[in-house]
Amino acid sequence: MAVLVAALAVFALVLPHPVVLPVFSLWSLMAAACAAFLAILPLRARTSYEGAAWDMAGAFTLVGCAAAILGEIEPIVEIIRPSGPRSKVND
Amino acid sequence: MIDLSMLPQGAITAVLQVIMIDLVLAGDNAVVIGLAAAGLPPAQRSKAILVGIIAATVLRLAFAAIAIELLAIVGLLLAGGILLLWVCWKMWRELRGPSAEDTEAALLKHDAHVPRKTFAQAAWQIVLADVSMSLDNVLAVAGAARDHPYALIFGLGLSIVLMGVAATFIARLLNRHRWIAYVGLAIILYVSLEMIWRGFWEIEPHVFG
Repeated sequence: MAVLVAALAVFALVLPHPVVLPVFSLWSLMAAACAAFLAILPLRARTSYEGAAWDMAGAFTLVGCAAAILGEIEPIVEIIRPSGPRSKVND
Repeated sequence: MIDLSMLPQGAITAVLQVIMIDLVLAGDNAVVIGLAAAGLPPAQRSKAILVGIIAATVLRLAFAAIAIELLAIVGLLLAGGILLLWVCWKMWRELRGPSAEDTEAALLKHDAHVPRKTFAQAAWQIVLADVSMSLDNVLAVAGAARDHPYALIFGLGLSIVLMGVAATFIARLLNRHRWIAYVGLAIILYVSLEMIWRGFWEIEPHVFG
């Protein structure tokens, strides 16, 4: 939880406002992938560790999906549009 | 502040664009599929997730093919939002009922009065939610990505993978910590209310002149 709040705070300070949630969403989903990778690693004393890692993967995924849903896609599409004149999207 | 307009242009930006579009495409579906599948016994969970992903993919393809015609239909977004709200209500009622483990235990004791969520019920919920959310996503993204059809095609494949993996993680989490299902339900409720809100303002000029 503290990691999530800290990451969100850093993104809010460093990034332009419209892209904070989309970037946070990407970061959360990448963290979920890392947690799932750790969960499937053949480590010793796996039983308790594996459960916690899967819980973290699920929590990061849920937060990432929520951030993606709450964030707006249009500013990101406009900002990273490869070339050509920028137009108002979704009109 | 980092100026993202200074990012190197080309392949990396195109891939970023696709990934961002797909996050929105897959996120809400993943939550609703995970939520519906979490109420099922483990053996049926992966089957329900598969049904949800196939339904969402087929619906997206169908809606994308007729996106222009869909954009012309007034009130479609409002109808989709109301449909999703009804799915939320059904899920809320299930959450307030006995858990899958309680139901399994009661069935082992031959208690016939305990309600049990069936695979068909979960699949029906997932498909109904997929209809409304796929409709919303296609309408929203059709404008944003109309200049990059290749991005939408690549994105469809990526969203299938994202949906499958994310829904599995979420279902696993909700099964272990049932209270988090209320968070998932709140997310879906937000999506449905937002669709109803936008749908209302879409029909408002037609209804009230």
